[in-house]
Amino acid sequence: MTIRNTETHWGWPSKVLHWLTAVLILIQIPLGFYAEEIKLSPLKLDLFVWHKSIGMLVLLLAIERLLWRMTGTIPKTPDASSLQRRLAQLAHATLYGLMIALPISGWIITSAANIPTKLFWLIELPAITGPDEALKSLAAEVHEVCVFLLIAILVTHIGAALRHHFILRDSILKRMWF
Amino acid sequence: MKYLALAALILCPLSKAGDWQSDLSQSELTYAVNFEQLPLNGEFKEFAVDYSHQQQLRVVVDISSVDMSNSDINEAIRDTDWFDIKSHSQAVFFSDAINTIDENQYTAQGTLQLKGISKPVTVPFSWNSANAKANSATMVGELTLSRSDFSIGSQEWASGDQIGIDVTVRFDVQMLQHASK
Repeated sequence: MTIRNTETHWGWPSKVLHWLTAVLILIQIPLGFYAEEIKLSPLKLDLFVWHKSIGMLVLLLAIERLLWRMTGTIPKTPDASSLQRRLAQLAHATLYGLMIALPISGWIITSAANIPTKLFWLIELPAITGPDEALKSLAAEVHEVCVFLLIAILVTHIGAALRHHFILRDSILKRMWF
Repeated sequence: MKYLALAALILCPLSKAGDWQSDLSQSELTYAVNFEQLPLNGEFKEFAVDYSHQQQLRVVVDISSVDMSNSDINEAIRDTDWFDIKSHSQAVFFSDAINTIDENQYTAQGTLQLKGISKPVTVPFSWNSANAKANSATMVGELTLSRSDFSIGSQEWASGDQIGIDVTVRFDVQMLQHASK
């Protein structure tokens, strides 16, 4: 397996980061909803430490993936109408945007809420704002809107990948696998 | 015998320097507790300190004035598992055993009544008369209390894993001297 991406293949770093991010996000979404919903308890506090820790990890991975993309190449999109190609590019750009906007808005929430956080109970996450109830509410709304947008895009992203694999029977999904 | 009485009469005004009371606007009473292994701060905005130098110390804290800069936390700590403010809105520390440790350093051995529970507590503090005014002084100190001693954060919160058991209390109080009664 190659390290660098080519015009036709994904290198293993891109593959690993893609699937790692996928698993983390698929955990994060239900984790966030559940932690938010349950009433205050020691478990709720612990779940939020997990949620914030995984969230910042996704942010880190997203930045790494973006740098990797920008300093290298990515495989060409397959023969498809330019509309489909544009939609795919838009969906992926949106996914990257959300992988940055969600952790950042979450970081603002915890900072404005004056809650200290040790990621994975190991590394302190510094506050990026001072205590501010109004800012916390605003960031929470942004965070929530972004989650619903993420779910919508993920449905199309996963659906499209499965369509390429099972209906169109091309190599789109295969080439992201090992 | 009457010389003794005379001496006592002459010395009496010197032994009691007059009542000192806190100036709330220039004072603060804060605490720090571990929240998922990081310190989280809170403060009591309303409290009153009464002090007779080296004789008596009384501190009354309005527990309902507690503020941890987060509306969800502020609501939670008012509940029965925590401060139970509806039933215990005040905490009182009283000591009439003030010991001198060093220059300007003292300890007040007394009783703290918090959430309806009384426990012996020793409060160390420094006492510094401000240079500018003869009738003002600063009282500063810090002590660590165990919240479990007072059943604060009981039931599911008792383990101390998420919210630490030890609470560091700090005070920095501006005291003003009032005329002796």
